[in-house]
Amino acid sequence: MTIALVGSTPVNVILEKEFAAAQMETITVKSNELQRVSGHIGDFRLQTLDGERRAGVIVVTEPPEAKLPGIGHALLDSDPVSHPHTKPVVLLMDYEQESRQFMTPVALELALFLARRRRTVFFLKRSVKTAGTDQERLYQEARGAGVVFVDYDQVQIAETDQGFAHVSAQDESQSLEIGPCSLIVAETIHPGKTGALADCLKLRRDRWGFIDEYKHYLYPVMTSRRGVYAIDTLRACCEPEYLEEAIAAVIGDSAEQLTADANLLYVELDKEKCAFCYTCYRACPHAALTPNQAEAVMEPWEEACFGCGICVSMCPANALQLTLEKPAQGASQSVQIFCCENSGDTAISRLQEDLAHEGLTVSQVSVTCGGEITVERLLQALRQYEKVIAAVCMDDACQHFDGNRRACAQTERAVSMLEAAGLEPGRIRFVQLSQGMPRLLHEEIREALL
Amino acid sequence: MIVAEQKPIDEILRTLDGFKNVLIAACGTCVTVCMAGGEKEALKLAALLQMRDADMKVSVVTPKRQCDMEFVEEILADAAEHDVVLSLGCGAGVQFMSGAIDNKLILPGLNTKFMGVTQDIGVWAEMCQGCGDCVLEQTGGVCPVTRCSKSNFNGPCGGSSDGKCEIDTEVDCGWQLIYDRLEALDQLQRLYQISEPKDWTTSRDGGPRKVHKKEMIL
Ligand code: SF4
Ligand code: SF4
Repeated sequence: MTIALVGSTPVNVILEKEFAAAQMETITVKSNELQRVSGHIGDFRLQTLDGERRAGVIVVTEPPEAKLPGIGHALLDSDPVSHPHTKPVVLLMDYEQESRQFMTPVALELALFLARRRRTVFFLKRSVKTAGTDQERLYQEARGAGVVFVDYDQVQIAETDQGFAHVSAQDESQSLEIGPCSLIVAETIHPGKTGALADCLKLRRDRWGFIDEYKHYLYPVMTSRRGVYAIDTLRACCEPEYLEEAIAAVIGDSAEQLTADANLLYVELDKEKCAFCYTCYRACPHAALTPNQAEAVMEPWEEACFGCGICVSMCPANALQLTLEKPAQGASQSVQIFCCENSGDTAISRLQEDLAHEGLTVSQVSVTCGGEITVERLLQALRQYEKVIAAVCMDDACQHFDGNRRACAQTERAVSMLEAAGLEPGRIRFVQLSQGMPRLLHEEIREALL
Repeated sequence: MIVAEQKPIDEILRTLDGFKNVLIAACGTCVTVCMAGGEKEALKLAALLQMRDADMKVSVVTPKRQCDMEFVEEILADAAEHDVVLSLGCGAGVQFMSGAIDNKLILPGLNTKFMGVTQDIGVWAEMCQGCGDCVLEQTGGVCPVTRCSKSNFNGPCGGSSDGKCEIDTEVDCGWQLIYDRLEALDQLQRLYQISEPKDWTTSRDGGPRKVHKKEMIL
C-alpha cells in the first residue's frame, strides 16, 4: 500500500525508511502543492499541482509554524528510532520575551527526560525561576543528570545549509556555539500551515487551530478522518519512543481499518430523498460524505464513516440512515433513556444491580454518539414513555467532536416544542456524564421515575 | 432558494383545531434545504400533534415540490383520505396545492420569508427581493434593494456607522459592502453615476407578475 507523506520535514527520511521496511511505498507531497483531497482510506486521491496522486493512507508531517528556523528538525543522517542522537538538544527559554512561569517546570522535565536517555542537553535561559515548589528539586536533578545550564545575554539562531539550526549564545565573558539536532523553544508555536492543510484535508482542528490529534481516546497520531494520520514532528525529534509508537500506530491502525469487516456501522443514503443540500457534508466530523455531481446526490463512504449518526440527525430530508439501529433493552413502560455508548451506556451497565435492587426499570437505547439523538426521536419516544432521558458525554469529551452539543441543542428544541404545545416540558431530561459517573445517572433515573 | 420558517407551534395547533385526520405535506426542495418544511420537520410536527391528541390521525407525505403539478398529483389520493392538509411548502406551494385540491382546506405551516442563500449550517440570509430590474452591475454584486435596509440607491444614509446599519448593530450596512467591494475591484467609478428614481412597476408595485417564455409556448 502507498502512503502519502504530506509535508516535507527531515523526519520524512526516517518515515520512508521505516515504512519501506514494513513493505509500504511512500510518496511525498508538499503541503503547498496539495489542492484537494478526496476519497477514503485505501483510496485517497490527492490533487496536486502536477496532477493526481493516489495513496491508501495519508500521513501529515508538516510541523506547526514556529518563529525560529530549525525547530524540531532532526538530522537527515540520524535515525532516532534505532540509534541515539549524537548531536545535542537545545532548550531555549526567554527568547523573545521572558518565558511564562509555568513553562519552566515543563522544560525542566523535558530536559531531565532527555538527559536520562543519554542525550546531551543545553538549557539556555536569561532568568532563573525557582518559585515553584518543585522547581529547585528539578534543577538539581537535571544538573545531576548532566543538563548543561547556560545563562545568556544574546542568542543567534541561523539556519545551516541542510536546513538545521545553528545556535550561538553569548554572555559578558564568553560565547558558545552549538549545532543541535533539535531546538525546543518556549515560545508560542502557531498552527501556521497546518491550519490551511487541515482545511484541505477536511480535518477537525482544536480550539487553537492545531490538527486535533491529542484527544485522549485516539492514538497519538489519529485525526478526525479515517486513514489520515498526523505525526508531531516537533515531538518526534526529541522523543524517539514517540516516533516509533507513531509509526507502529499508522501501520497497525491502517491495517485494522482496511480489513473487510472492520466497519459494520455506517450510513446509507436514499437517493430519492436527498435534496443535495450539503448539510451532511458540512456536519460530518469524519469527512465521510462526498458529493456525486453527476447524480446530484450526496454519497456516503462506508470506509470513512464512523456511524456516529450526526449526519442522520442533521439531514433535513430524512435521507440518511444507519445500517444498524440497536433495539431498546429493558422492560420499562415509563422511562426511555438514550445512552451514548462512550458514556451513558457504560454508566448504566454499572447501575444494573442497584436499579434491580430498587425495583427501577428503564428502557435503554444505545446510540453510537449523542449526535444521533434528534427531536423526532425524543418526541416519538414520548408517545410510548412518560419520560425520556438523553445521557451523553461531557463537554470536550465527544469522540465525534460535537455530537454531545448537538444532542443538547436537539433536546432544548424538543423541550421548547413541548412547552409551546402546552405539554409538560419536564418529560425530557438531558444529562452529560462520563463512564465513571453512574451515580449521576442513578439520580436522574430516580428523579424521572418519581 | 426560498427561505421559510415554521409557524409557531401554538398557531399551527389553533389552525388545526377541530380536525381529527390531518395530512402534513412536506416539500422536498427549498424548504427542505432551509430546514423549515422537509420530511424531518413534518415528522416532528406529526409526533407532537399525536402527543397532544392520541386520537388524531396524522400522516406525512413529501412530494419533491409543491409547485409543479406532476409532484402534487402523486399526493392527491392521500389528500382525499384526510380532512385537511397542512402544507409545509412555501406560500407558492400552499396556493398551488389549493388550486389542485379544490375540495379541501390547505393550511400553511410555514411563514415564507425571502429569497436567500445558506451562510452556514442553520443560517440563511436574504439576498434578493425580485424587483424585476436588476441593478447588481452598478453595485459590485451587492443588492441595494435588499441589503440596504432602506433600499437606498445613491449611497448610505446618515445611520451607517462602523460598517453597520442603524437598525441593528448585527446588520451590515449594505452601502458599506457596496463601497468596499467596488474599491477592492478598482471599480469605484461605477458610483459616479447618479441613479434616477427606480421604476418599481417591474416589482410588486406593478401587481401580480407572470413570466411568459414565448418560444416554449405553442
Ligand atoms: S454517521 Fe457520522 S461519520 Fe458517518 S457519515 Fe454520518 S456524520 Fe459522518
Ligand atoms: S443532508 Fe440529507 S438531503 Fe442534504 S445532502 Fe446530505 S443526504 Fe442529501
